[in-house]
Amino acid sequence: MREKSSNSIQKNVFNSNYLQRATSASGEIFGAFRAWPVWIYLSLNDIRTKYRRAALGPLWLVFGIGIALSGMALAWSVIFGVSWREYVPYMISGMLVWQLISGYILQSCDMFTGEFSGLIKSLPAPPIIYALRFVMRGLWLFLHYLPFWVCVAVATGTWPTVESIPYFVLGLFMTLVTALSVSVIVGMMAARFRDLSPAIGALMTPAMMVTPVMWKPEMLGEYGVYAKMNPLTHYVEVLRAPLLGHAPGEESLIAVGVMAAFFSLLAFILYRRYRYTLVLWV
Amino acid sequence: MAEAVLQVKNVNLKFPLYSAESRSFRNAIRNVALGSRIGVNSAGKGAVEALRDINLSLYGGDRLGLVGSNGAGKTTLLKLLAGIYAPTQGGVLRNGIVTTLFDIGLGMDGDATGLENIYLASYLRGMQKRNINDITDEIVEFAELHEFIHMPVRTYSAGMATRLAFSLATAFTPDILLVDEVFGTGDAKFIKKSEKRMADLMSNARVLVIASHNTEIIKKFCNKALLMRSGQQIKLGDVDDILSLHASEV
Repeated sequence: MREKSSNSIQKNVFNSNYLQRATSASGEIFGAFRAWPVWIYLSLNDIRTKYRRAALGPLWLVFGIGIALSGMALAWSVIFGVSWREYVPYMISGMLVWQLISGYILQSCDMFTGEFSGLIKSLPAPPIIYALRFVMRGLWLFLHYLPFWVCVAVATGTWPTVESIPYFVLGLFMTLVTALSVSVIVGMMAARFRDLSPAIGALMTPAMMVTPVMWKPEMLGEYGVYAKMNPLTHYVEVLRAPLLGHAPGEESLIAVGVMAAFFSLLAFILYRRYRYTLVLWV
Repeated sequence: MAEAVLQVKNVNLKFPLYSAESRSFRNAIRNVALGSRIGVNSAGKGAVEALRDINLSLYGGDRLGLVGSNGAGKTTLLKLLAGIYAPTQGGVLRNGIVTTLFDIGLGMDGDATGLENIYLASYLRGMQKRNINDITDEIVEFAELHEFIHMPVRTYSAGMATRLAFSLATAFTPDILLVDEVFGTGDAKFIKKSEKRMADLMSNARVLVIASHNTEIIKKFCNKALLMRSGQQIKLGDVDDILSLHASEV
């Protein structure tokens, strides 16, 4: 009944409807995961855009952070009176992991209200797609530091081992699952409550101080047990220990696994409840 | 009777009002602590009724034009149909892939090249890679960009950028196409060309819903029209009847 056009290019090419709103939240999330080329491509483009017109591109990041961290690590090894061969890799791996974790927490506040608000308001795509793009972008940035980590390993002789690398993959996986959940939770809450973003901004620096990034829990002596009450301690541990060539503590692995599951559940509940309200907040 | 491609049943849509007051954490905590009976937050609560009692059934071949003055709810209805808004009451049924043409330059990255932007925009609209590969040449040719396609969009003239945006926004035919006031880009020659492409696109989609103040566009593309006022559907019917009813109101 409808007339056919001569324009052969304009044909139906939407083989998938993954990027459409679904009746159920789980269907929507599942569809968004299956549309992986979309968020992989978009996140890679975000990284490319960052370095356009820069001759050395990502190397600047590695140089910048490399020089700053190496200097700091050497100075602090003297202050703490620990051997530099031991302390430098400990602190640098801690800082690299911290960059990943704190970047996710800080930037997720403005995720929905900032760069993605225009898209949320005019495309029929599920908002979770932007959280996936955001998490992948953070991962690409983190992977930039690997060459620097190789330099540190060469200089200090601290290498990941064949046994520790699977732990690193596991730790990274659990961290990414948490990052996705937390970005949805924080992204939605920060869009609804505009005080949350500055509050989190103010809390991140003290959070680093109370997390064993630059210091070791043993340095606290009998107070070391308090460090274990900080959830961030365990995330740092599961990623750092494998980089330093040993398996992370069992309690950290369990803690991170439980937290990843808890945040995923919470994120799912919030997403199911507010996935259509979000557009009114951003 | 054939199955409806797009169906709206008894839809009401309310937008809650958020003030700085109700958006603050302090108030949320205080409300929980003091209980709602104190009503500290009552000033910040409220809702705007954006759509009321909307009932629509669109079948394959239907081209619906939405008419009404500013604030009548045309764009809101389009966003409801797209699935960007969910109804407060009632239901919306979509049988097919939806594409929106609301904001033509949406998702474009000025620092990326024209070609990269084709991928960006197409991915965002749910396309698959091999299908995007198939149509890039056609987009480039239609937008008349030639070798400029490898330059960053930032370096384009305004005309070139809109030509690219228009070409890629209209390169795919969805089942359900929702259009909000997009026309008139580039020079006279391109406008003529783009009207032809728009006409092809709209006649290929199974269902078209277009909101426009331009009666010519409604007359040209639509076979049904819906008059809206203050978020309510006043009358659904023949294009000429609805347009003259609307004209008599203005």
